[in-house]
Amino acid sequence: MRVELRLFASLGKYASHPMISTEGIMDLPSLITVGDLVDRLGIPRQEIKLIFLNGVHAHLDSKVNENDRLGLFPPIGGG
Amino acid sequence: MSDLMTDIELKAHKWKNHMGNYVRAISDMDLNHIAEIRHQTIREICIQSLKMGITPLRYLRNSPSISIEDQIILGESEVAVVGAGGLGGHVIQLLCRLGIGRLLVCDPDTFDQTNLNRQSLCFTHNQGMFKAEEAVRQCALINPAVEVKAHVLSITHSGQIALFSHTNVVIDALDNAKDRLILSSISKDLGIPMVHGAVAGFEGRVMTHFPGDTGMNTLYSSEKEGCAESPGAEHVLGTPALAPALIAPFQVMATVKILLNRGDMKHNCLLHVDLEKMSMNSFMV
Repeated sequence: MRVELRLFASLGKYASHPMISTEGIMDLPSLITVGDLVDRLGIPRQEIKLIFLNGVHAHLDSKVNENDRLGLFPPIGGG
Repeated sequence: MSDLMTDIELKAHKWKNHMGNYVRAISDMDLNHIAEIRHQTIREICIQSLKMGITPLRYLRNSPSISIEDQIILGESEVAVVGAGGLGGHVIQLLCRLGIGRLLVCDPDTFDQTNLNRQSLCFTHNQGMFKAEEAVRQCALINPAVEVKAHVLSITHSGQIALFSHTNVVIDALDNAKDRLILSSISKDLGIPMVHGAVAGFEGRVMTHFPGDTGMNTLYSSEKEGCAESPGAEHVLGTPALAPALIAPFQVMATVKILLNRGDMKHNCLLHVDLEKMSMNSFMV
């Protein structure tokens, strides 16, 4: 299934993973969770602070569906 | 008509505004002079002048985006800015130019050379000076009608709520999760909104946190999953000048919208801006 991934701020360094196209599109098996996806990309879970599925707050155990837009944020605290 | 009103009336003059219309206006010099002879603050004279339909020249170009009635509300409002660094410096200057009546500025730190890359109140000549006290000095140069009070301290516990007893909106221009959660707890206890901002690299975000909202806890509370959380992205990417200068106006706009009761304000809505990708996204937290 097709999933659009957006890695924000310091997570951008993981965007060069071969599973992710230059447009941020991933082709994934169905019934995958956000946590599974994060593990496949080799992103340490502790680097992820916020998860958004289709613009709404989600969790590592949230299911990812066809054509979902997934956004991952690290902690951000600069002022 | 009171003596004060007569003083203002006598100094009012016709001025052609940017739309080609003649309006009644009054200069800074005349406002200062009237405040001096009447033993009142410049802010009070400004508000009285606006109530008489006489616009201080310094606010003429705010119109009609900010009406005379709006300008009075802003002049009668108090905003607290907690943190006078990257975000806070820009926020303070913008609020000051807008004519917010009273500003509270809280920051325990002094300026150092690492602040020069982004902090708009920081200069080569004020190194070592307290940021909050510099805010007072610089605001006086921008707009003496704004009454600025400096608190050289950190917001570390809920007992500091009394500092904000007359505050209408709190602006979070802090730089760490712990202080932000304390500030959002204080704003909740006060029953007033807090406007959150944070930056890292060329990205930044803003969110208005209303009393009872859960957004700040989602953004900053520790998940306690048994492993230490990574440091903030600002420690990885740094904080160049652009993101603070971009996010601060969003925070100030949110504040103005609250004060003027203007437009829809969504709860738990996080706006994220990426300058490098030139993209903007909003999320429901």
